[in-house]
Amino acid sequence: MLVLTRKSGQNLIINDNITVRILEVKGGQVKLGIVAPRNVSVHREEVYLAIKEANLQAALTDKNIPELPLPAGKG
Amino acid sequence: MTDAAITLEMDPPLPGFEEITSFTLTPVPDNPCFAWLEAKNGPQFLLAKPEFFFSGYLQQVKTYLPSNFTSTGISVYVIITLADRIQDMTANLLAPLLVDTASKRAGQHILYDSAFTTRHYLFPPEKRRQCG
Repeated sequence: MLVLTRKSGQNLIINDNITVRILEVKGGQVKLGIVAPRNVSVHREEVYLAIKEANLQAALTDKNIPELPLPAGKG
Repeated sequence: MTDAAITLEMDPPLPGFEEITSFTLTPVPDNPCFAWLEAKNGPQFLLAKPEFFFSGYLQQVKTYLPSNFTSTGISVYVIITLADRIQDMTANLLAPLLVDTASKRAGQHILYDSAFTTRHYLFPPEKRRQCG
């Protein structure tokens, strides 16, 4: 892992097209600003992993589903 | 609403299925609340139209979209996880699937700092009890 020390207001540049700015360092928290092309996904790791897990659980191997219900008042 | 299936490019890919970029979105016949999302030779997902189940959710989703993201022509779906009993199915409201039907592109958008989770019951407790 590359380890760098930065101060508030300083930037990192990744691959010529991604900028990571240290906006604020306060009380054990770092606020980052990220400028990246639209096809670059930026996620908080724990949320990303939760979404990934949810998608894996939602994936179906066959479409053998009973009749789908309609919401209350519409069925 | 059209009943025709459309082929979508998943960009960015769904977390957990990064290698799959092409999906087919097919409405469920005679049931406007659901649709199928299927990859050729891959997984399939049951999707729901949230406006039939979660009042006010669509308006909330719009407030989370980036300002450079036009909300016109975007259809919002939520991914369903089935349970042993069909009425216990849950929806992932934390990361809805946004579909741009004009450009035929789709992607999951995470609503950071919202109160939503990956599992919300579609049906109220009364209905879940009744059907048991």
